[in-house]
Amino acid sequence: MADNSDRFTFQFDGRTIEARSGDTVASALYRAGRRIFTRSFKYHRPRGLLCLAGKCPNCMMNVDGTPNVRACITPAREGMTVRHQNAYPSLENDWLSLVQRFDRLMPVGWYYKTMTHQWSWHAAESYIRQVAGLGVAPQPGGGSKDYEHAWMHAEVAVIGGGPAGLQAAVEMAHDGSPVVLIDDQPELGGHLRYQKRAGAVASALVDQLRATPSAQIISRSYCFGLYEGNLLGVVQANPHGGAIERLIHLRAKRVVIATGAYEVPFTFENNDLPGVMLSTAVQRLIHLHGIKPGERAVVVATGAPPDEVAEDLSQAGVELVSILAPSEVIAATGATHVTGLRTKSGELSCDLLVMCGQRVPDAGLLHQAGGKLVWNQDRGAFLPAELPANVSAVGEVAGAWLARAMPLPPERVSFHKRSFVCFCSDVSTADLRDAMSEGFDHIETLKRYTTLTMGPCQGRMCQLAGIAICAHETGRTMTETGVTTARPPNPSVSLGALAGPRHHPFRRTPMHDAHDQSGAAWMDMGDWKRPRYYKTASCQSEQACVEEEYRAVRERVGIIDVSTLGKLDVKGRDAGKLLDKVYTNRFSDLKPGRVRYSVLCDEAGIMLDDGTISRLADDHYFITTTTGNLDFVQQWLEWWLVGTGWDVHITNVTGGRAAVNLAGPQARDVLHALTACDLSSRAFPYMACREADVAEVPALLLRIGFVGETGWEIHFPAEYGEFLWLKLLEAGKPFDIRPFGVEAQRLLRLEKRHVIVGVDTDALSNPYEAGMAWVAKLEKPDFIGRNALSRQAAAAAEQRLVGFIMNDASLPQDGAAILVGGALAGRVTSARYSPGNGKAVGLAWVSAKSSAAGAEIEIRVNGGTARARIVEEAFYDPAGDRLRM
Amino acid sequence: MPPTRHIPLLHAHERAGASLMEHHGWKVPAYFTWAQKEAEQMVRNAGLGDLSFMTKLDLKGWGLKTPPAAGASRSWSLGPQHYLVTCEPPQRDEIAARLRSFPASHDLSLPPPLYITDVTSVYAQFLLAGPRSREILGKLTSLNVSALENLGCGQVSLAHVHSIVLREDLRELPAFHVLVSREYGESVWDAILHAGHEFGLVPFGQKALEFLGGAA
Repeated sequence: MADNSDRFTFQFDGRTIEARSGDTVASALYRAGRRIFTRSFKYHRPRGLLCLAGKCPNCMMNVDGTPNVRACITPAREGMTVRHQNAYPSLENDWLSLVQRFDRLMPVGWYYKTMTHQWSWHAAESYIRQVAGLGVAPQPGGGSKDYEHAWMHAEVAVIGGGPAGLQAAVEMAHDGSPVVLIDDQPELGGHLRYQKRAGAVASALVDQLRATPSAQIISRSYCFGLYEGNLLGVVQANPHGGAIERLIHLRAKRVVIATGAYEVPFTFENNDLPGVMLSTAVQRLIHLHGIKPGERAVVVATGAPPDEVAEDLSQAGVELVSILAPSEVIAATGATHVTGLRTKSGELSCDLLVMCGQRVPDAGLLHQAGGKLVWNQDRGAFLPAELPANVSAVGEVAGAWLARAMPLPPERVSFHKRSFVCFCSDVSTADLRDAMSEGFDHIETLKRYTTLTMGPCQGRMCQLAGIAICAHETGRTMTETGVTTARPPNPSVSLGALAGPRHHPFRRTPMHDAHDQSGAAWMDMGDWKRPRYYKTASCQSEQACVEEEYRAVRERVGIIDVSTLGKLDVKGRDAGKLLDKVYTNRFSDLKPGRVRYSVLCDEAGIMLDDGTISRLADDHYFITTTTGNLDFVQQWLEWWLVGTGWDVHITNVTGGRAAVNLAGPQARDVLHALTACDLSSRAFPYMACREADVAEVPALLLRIGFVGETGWEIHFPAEYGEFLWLKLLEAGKPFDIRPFGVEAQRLLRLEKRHVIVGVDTDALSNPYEAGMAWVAKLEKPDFIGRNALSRQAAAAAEQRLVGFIMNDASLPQDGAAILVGGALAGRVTSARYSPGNGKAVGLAWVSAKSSAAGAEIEIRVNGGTARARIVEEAFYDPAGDRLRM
Repeated sequence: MPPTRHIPLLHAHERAGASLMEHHGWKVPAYFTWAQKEAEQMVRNAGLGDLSFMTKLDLKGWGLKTPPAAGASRSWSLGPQHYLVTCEPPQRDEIAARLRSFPASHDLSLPPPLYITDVTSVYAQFLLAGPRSREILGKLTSLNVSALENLGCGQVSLAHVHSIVLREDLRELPAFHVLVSREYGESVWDAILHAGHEFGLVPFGQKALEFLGGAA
């Protein structure tokens, strides 16, 4: 019984509602006089409380910004904000309820019958999208609360906190086995909670379970799926103050389904009016919340109604007008609430119609798990049989205590457009008859055509009635008609719960904070955060900053953080053999202290990645990969290593090594200030590597140059990342050093026509067409892709990656179309304004016949076209002299 | 003198108000609030510490058929003939030397029995300790941490990042080392703290560990 002394308030549609401790949102609203809780999906008919057990769609509301929350099982909380949904402007006066006047124009299968032309859908779509659906999805980023995921493991999972579930959990946990009990109600006890004579039994079982140390209870949580390997999907509402919902991935060795049974309504005209309630809902209102459900009640029951129902109504002060059999009922009357009942023997006045309906096992999870449901005529239910191993059913869901309340299939069905079977989608008995007359007379096709069992309740309210009507109309038995397939999620799950927390991990280089201090403008490259460029007081725009950085590298010295490069440490006496096999270049003959560039191709000769490989010792190589391809390259190497028996060990050291590229005519001077290593071209030539201390930090220096200037790629332990970065900047001060970002780097490399695999190449690019024939060493006896590359070397290329320079000041975008003679002939992969050339330069794929040096092409720019000239060599220092200085 | 080493989250800890100290050549958080309070919170609920300074050696090779034993270190099996050895920084050189003296076969046609790569900087290493630590990990990973016995380890996705989880209890207190690639460190640290908020998780510094060691 609700505690009357503990009262609080919450907001509903701007009104203050008083609630009591133990109230749900629905019970508090009902006590406050609200009878219409929602409007139906299609016809916007008023709907009131029906089941009060979270099984039907009649009380779905927006609670604290979350749509489609079932108010009947959501505990009321101080300060919460509840709003109605699917009605405009209010639940009492919903303009869209005019739709029901035209219900004859909306036959079953309306979409299939009206949207027969493309134009009809286009004309109707915007309107339908505005009015269709139930709740409105919250705006991304709105609200301070989050969704969560969690993983649990248990010996036994018991689903359902009624008497059978409690008893099963107590027995299973008795020997100390970890048992998890999941229950969707605010309190444990199932139907014992609202059956006054059994309340003590429920309390005793709950106390016993709570006292069992190995048992864990998760209340207010529903299980929406039972997947392979006894993986259960469970959603827990408001697990703590900071979370809306928590999705629990529960793995159990054994699953016990104790989901019980629920009542379903009878079908008669206007059976959906507010005030027409299931008997269990009435009992809940009376016993759990101390609410008098109405003044004058008519009870509809097959045979004698449960004694308790009549007794409960009487004790609650409700006048019992009559008890009728369902076959006596013709229609409920009333506009927005039931005011009476039209029966075969006359009119009855009432404001409450209590249906003692058939009890149906809640067997959806068992069906999902692969269990077979078999019709039992005596019990009037589809009962589980042939359950999978380690899944069992107990209590009412297994058929215990169930009895058939009415003949099934029924002897007579009243077909009427307002005799509703499916409350979720407004599917009536007449709709089912019409659908079957159109040929959809199999229960599965009937389901798909009418959307029966496909709404938020997932068939809980309508499945049995639908099957019974189908059987009645087709003359088949219930067994022959069969049951629709249950699939997860059942019941529905919010997308937020499935998506989980707003957590996207990202990667920071060791110099991240130093870049921040230097005014880095950040960009995302995969999970990495990289400086796109650095904002300074002297430059007002991105272009100006990039140009300053460009000039620093070309004229003085610049430094860029390249820690994002993938770095693999490869050791073992057969390491060279593996690299020879996987890369197109040769590495077993590479001398220690030397670096070689190569690409990685697949069996079809397609370029997958590129990078440098340094030989540090006879059995030790150091590979760099592109930023995004590290994991792939490591897996590729390990894949080709399998089964060889070679002594090769690959370790990913990406995170452990910071890396910078120091480049420019004065790079040597800067580095010289910090290391004793002889940096002269004679002692340390281009494509050489040395291990040396830089500012007392042990480092690996590679003399390579992606940006086309004298430079060193310096790899060193990440814990010194910020220290050495700042040291290099300090040493470079006399030379006016500038840190440069990705955008300047892309411009600098483009002037050198250096290709970025994955940007300038795609899933069809081979080295020959990309102008990198020199990288494929076909004289090697074997390597991955060699056969394909041999064929490609001999064949005429269909397309080529070429450089181009614009004839005027136009700047094409990456991806711009290339035209030759007005016909599409290729696309731009990269284009940037080149300060060194005074015009934009770029790389593009063009058809081979249009790729001759000096040929003119047209490029789509800003809706028009601009002319460009194909250039064979690099746009900057084509001989590479500056790299070797 | 070589410069002081920085753990991956040094600046993040500074922003969180940590007082820093030097610990075997590394700059680490001494405490975030008050060492005794952090230790008590760890014992009562859970605490999260940054132990990225711990030495980590990656061992691979045909000779590794049994866990390599070397002084005051822990060996964690990551796969067939693949171990991770962890120890305090001062022991690093001694342990590495001992591992290098791993007995080689007399058959010279066989490759060397052991390859050692220092992966100390590759991983950020966090210690999640306390009675609620299992529940916190249960919000971040599908690993059945309850089934992970003391000195057991597993590799798993944790907060969407590949992680190595090592269980090394602090006496009676359940404790888990979480190792993630260094560059993901701050993201994972934040994710653990966020997940642990409902369980009273607090960050702790080196002094809290020392306090716990002395008081226990």
